[in-house]
Amino acid sequence: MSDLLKFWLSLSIVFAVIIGIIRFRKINPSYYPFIYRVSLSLVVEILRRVLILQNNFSAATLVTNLFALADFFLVAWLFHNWGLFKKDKKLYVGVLLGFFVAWCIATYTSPRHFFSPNLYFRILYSFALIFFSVTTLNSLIINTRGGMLKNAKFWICIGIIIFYTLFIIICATQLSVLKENVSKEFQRKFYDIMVFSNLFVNLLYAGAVLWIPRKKVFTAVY
Amino acid sequence: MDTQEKSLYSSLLIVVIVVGIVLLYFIITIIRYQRRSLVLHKEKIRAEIDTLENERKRIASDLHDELGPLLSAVKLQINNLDSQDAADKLLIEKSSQHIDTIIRRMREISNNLMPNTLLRKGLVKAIEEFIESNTQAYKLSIKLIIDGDSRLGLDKEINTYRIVQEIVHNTVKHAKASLLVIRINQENGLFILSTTDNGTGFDYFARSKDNTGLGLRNLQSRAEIMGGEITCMTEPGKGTSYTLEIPV
Repeated sequence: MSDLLKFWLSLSIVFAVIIGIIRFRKINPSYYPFIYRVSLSLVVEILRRVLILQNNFSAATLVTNLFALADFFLVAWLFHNWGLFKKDKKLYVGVLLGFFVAWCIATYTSPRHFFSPNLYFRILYSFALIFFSVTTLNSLIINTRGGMLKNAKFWICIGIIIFYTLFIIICATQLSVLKENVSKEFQRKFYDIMVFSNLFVNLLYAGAVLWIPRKKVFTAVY
Repeated sequence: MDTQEKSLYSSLLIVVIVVGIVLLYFIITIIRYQRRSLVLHKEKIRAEIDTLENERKRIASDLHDELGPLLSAVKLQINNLDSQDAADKLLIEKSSQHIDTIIRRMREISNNLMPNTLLRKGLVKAIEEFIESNTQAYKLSIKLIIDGDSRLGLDKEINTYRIVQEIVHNTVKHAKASLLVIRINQENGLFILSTTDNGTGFDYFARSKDNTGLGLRNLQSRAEIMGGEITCMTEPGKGTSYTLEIPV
């Protein structure tokens, strides 16, 4: 698979972004972090492509490392809005601070600091997001009284679980296998797995954005 | 790729496929079990609410149709007593007044249990009557806004009426509000009831955590059996708003 095709496939997130922009004013505000998150993904994909075309691989890695932190913050904000931390702001801020510290430590201990892939942090935050999603799914099964197939929360959680589970496998393999001298072809095929899971999850997210519930209109006459 | 890399890549692919299959099974089972649990839950709630409403109807009817005429007969008999003694006359008058009070209260109780207006004239008239008869007692100004024709089936109207009663009672008991606005309208095939008060509001998550929100659960259960959805938006100091949406 060519790099250009991979890039075009990674742009599949654009469907979620377009639907999100069209529906932005109508949707429940608790889902805003998700719209910000998919929009940021699109910007990062394009930025990374531009930097790679300029052979600026260090800057591309820096962008990916920063995106990992922003990704965690935005998704944690989304789960906070859904009541995962029982609306406890101290706990929520504590979790954010904890992961910021983890990001700093992982970056500091990387060989080239900001310019090496922050793999340990990526694995750590992927686990956290999977746990958040599983907890939210459990709560959905108990509390949701409508069908699951048109439930945006359900599809977002499923998307997160699928994507980050494979992401952990890829990062963990990268940590162990890619340290060895492996061929370029192996590396290319290896990343293809991520391209397909990314494509699948991006389409899932587009569906989820479509099912985000509308904002509630209240009478406020006084 | 050399042979070693090929076998490594195959192993990796197998891991990914296995994880994918497990996740797929996980998703399918979640959807299936949630559907099954939803059906059972709705059946249970429907049975509970039907039993409750039938019992209310029976008690209301017993009070109105059996005790009412009996008390009226007693009052007639007392009034027919022909006594010349002033003390006896006073006693008869007082007893007659007591019986009048009992009959009036009994009608109120019977009406609260199952309003005749709701059965005969529908939801909007019943809510109007409920507001009219309770505004003074509650010391709460209730404004009702009706947009368009809003008739539902009898079961849905009874459940919606109970929801309005519960919201008004909650506002009076907990919200310390001076104004409650109730709006009823129909939009995109949905019957929408929205209420807003200017009271103290509450911490929804803390209340849910303490598990004390029986009233809130009642509202939710009634909304569920109508195939609708009720949402509550509240924060301490910012009042409380409910929106009930039911498919027409």
